[in-house]
Amino acid sequence: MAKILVVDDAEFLRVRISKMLSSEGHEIIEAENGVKAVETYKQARPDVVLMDITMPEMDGLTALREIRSYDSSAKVVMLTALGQESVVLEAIKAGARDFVVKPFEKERVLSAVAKLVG
Amino acid sequence: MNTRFDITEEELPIFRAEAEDQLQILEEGLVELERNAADRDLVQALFRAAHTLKGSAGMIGHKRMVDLTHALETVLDGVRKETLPPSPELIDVMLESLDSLHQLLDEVGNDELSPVNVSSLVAQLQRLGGSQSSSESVPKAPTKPVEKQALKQTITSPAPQIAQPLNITVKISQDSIASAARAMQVVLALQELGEILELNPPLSVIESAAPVPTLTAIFQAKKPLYEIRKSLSMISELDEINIEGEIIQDETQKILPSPSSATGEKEARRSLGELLIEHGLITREQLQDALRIQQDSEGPSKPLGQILVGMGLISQEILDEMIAEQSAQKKAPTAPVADSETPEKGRTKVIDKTVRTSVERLDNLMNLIGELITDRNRMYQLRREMEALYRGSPQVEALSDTIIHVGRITDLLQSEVMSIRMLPISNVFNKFPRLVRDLARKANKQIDLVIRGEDTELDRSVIEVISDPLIHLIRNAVDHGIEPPKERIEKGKPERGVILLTARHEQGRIYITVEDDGRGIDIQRVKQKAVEKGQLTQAEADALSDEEAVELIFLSGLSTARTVSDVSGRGVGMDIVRANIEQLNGNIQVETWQGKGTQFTIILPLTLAIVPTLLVKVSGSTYAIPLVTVNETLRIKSKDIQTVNGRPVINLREHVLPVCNLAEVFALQHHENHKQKEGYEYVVVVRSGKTQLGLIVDDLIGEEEVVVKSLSSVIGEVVGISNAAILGDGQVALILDVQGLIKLVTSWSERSSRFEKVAV
Ligand SMILES: [Mg+2]
Repeated sequence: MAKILVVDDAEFLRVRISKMLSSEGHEIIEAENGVKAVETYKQARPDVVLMDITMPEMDGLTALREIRSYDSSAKVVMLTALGQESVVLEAIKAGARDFVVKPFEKERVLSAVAKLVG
Repeated sequence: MNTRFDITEEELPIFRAEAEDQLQILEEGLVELERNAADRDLVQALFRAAHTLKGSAGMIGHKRMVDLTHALETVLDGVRKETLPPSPELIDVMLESLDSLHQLLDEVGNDELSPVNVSSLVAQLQRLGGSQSSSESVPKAPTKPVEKQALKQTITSPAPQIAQPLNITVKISQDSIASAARAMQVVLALQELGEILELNPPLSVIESAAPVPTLTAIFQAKKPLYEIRKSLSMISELDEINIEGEIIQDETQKILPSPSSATGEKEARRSLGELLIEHGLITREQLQDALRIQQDSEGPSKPLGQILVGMGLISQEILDEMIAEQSAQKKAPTAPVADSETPEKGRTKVIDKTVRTSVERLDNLMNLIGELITDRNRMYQLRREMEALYRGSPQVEALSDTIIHVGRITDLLQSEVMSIRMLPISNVFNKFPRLVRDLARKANKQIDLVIRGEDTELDRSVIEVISDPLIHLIRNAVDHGIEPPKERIEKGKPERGVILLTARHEQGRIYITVEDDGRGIDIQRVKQKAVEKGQLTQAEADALSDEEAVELIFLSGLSTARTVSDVSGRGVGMDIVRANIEQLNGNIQVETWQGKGTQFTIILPLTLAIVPTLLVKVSGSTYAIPLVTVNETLRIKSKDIQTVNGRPVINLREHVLPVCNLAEVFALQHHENHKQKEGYEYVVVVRSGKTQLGLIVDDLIGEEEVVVKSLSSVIGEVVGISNAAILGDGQVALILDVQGLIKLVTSWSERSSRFEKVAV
């Protein structure tokens, strides 16, 4: 069981992902934009972060960079969509450990998390 | 419950509410965008809304919604990059797409196929959008020069290692949307473990985000081979990892990892070791020794079990037995070992502390509060009676105090529940920018809608019914109020007209105004129209003051527009608007300034369920008059009632006020009461708009908040009565429909009915 921070501006996506993960016994915390994600990361020190890219206030790429500069061992998985190839590449260069493409299957999310906490 | 979409019943309201929010953001934003194309934040927010909508639609498998939102997103991306100007035609199609998205959204939940032509809209968006191809891209963050240099060095500098360089070939899945990113993951992983001597394709190609189906590297390892394999196997979407001829298959392809694959082996190692310790066959120290031997061995590592056998710690038979037991216990390789705790326990939400509830529950709650208020009123009444009967009794005093306390709690409960039911009026107002935009475009007018007080909260019951009257007033303002640009310029007015929409709280009521800076209502024309329609005589029309004449617009069939335009249409008139507002125990007033504009003010109670009223007695029955309609109460001498043209009137501060006896209106038996014997009458002065009427009643009881019970279902429409209420003493009181009464008694349109029209 791991502590996982789910970051997405869409509540529906957060609920969906949280349900996928909590059925495996993980503890879930949520944030709705990059600013809150960075804040929550510092407070809660989650084991894994699932990070949306397109968000208000602060986008996922910026939040990833901020989290990684705060904690260079932070494990961040990007939640991405078709058409975001170059952003994903930037995210990987900035230290993202993986990315999952929307719409995703439960197995895909679980396996991404399992690889990082296994 | 749902066959077509991948969504559960509990997810549905979240999905819907959020999608509606995004559509709202898009609608308001697109209207704003047309006026302010340079607003970068706005365009960004619009793009994001389309993107979010697409993402959520994708998650439930709503293909048509994804297609349309994707086309929308692509167009907005063009606008964002300033390669595509947001022309009115483009905005038209985008707004039309939003309408269709609303329909597509409705499919989720009711499972009916909406008749939306997605491909036609997508084609239109693509045509107007030109060839916008890729939708998402961000300005490339500059690669850190240090990183780049370091990487170059590792590629070019010869490896000082003793071991042979490895040939690594990685095949990236064709399904990967960002194979370059996967390739970059491989490069970064390898950099951690040694030096890349050669890379194909080169780093510059990978960085351009071009697809990378296969990546090969000549690699000088600084770490054991199994670590390299382990590290690479952690990267998703790699179909094949080939290191010096060894092939490792991707576990996400649902193929169980072979015992020699890094992750599989690690798991086996760990759990086999634990199993042996559990059975007391080896010690933890012995296991650690074996693992160390396994790690230090060069080349493909030996399975742990074989090492243990080789160390002479266990026999081959025991090993086989343990492996059999282990594979029976083993779970799917990707599933982490779950704790035995209940799954939902793991979910702690830190951000959102709100609770969702249904409208139905809120309505039930409000009904219960209504019952409680009725009981409170009844208890107050009993308390007064008890105190009169048993003055000085300590028990009665205690009961009385308790009643007062319960009453106070009831009031607090009511205001709490009311506040839960409150919604900001922006829920209604936010539809109007689009409405005004579309109407103005059709009418070839230029109009800005200015909204103030959109945070003003009102009960959801009011929110639901206020929309239609407001739409009508806004349509009128666009169609009849605001002049065409040319006419405005000739008059020395700004080319663009303004419609101001405001909301505010005042004295426990809601005030909503709709104001335009247009031509104002042509009072002479209104009078003329009313005469033409036979609603009053020329003499009557001439006798009307401007203030009175403007009220004529609330009569049925009066429209001052010279032509019936496509925009405001026919059918609903101002008479219906007023009737609707007054049905809600509200009030509508109009003020107009010739050549300068018109203002409508709607006054509404905070909720429709509970109405503050003045209770009166007529022929032994109790009637409730909504306080919003009451101007004042008078006590007059019976002989002051005069008859003009066969109609009773009184003189109120130098004005003639028509009066009517409620007992006569409702054809009740006329009880002579003591006040009349004394020669006095009670008169309640009520108004509808600017028309006033005096209601003669037998007695005034006092003010009381009453809980409205609908009457129409029981006895149908009764002229002069809107609803019923249950009072504190258990009696049923009828709530007066003041507008209906005034219409009945004084209206020009009712001249031939039971009363003669009085020339005022
Ligand atoms: Mg997002």
